[in-house]
Amino acid sequence: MASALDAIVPRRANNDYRGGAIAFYGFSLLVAERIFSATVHFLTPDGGKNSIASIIVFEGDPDPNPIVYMFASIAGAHEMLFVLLYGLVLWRYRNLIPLMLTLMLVGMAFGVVASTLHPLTPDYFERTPPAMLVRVPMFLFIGTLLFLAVRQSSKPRVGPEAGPATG
Amino acid sequence: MHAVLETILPREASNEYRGGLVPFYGFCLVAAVMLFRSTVHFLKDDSGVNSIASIILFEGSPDPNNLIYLFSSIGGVEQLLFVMVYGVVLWRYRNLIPLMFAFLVVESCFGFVVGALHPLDPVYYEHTPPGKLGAVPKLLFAVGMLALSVRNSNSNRQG
Repeated sequence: MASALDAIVPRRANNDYRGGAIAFYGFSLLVAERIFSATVHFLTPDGGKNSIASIIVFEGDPDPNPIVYMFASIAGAHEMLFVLLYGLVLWRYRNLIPLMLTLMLVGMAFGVVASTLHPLTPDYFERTPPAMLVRVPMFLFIGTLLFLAVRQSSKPRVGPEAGPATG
Repeated sequence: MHAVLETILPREASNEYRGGLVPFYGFCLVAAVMLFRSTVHFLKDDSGVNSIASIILFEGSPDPNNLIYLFSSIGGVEQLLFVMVYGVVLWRYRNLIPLMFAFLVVESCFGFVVGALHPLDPVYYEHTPPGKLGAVPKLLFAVGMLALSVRNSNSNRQG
């Protein structure tokens, strides 16, 4: 347990990554997906809510849609902050990749809590939004990457390959 | 410039913090405020949208308010995850506190971008929301703390 904790939150964060190539490239793939998702939520006029998530356009006076878009954009701005953090981890602190995967998993679990607190009936969208479709596969994918990264990082280093390793 | 970059992004993150007491306690304050804010946005039944930000209730079927609460709550999730990052920094990597202030500066700037893209007309709220009132002070505080922590770190390294 202690070694798993040390693999997720090492005492010193640097580029001495030992989590294996699969977790590294898997995390890079997730970062690419997050760049797209954060950019759409943060910067598109509708936050991707009507055009991608197929959420209906509301009517009313005053118009509720700008408030929906604004809150989607605020969430996107915070997603973008995480994208910057992931970028820094890939550049400077690769042994924090397991921690980033853990945060992604926690974020997904919290997302389930948020959608349980504020459930949407099918009236709100025309078809199932992509984020809801990929929720379970994504959870399994990130969970597997985390397991692989922690297992690899926890292995004791022996022999001549015990030097710094990245990628 | 290189020294500033090395302070904000040290090659190795650890608890060897040299940024001084004021930025340290300033960062603790930021973490506490963010913890409160993110918890309200994430878990409160109206996500603080009506009760704190005083945004008006909308009418319609299906109810638009529910969707607004959901997206505000999702924003709260992202904020709470960043609070966890703050917690990890306070526990293990205190020399990343200047980096966290840099993130706070960027977050404030992103807030201005959101405000420019989706301007909130006064018709939507009863009184100015606290987030809007605190935007400029937050940016100034973050810049001040960042400058102080970088200056202290550099002078402590040379001393």
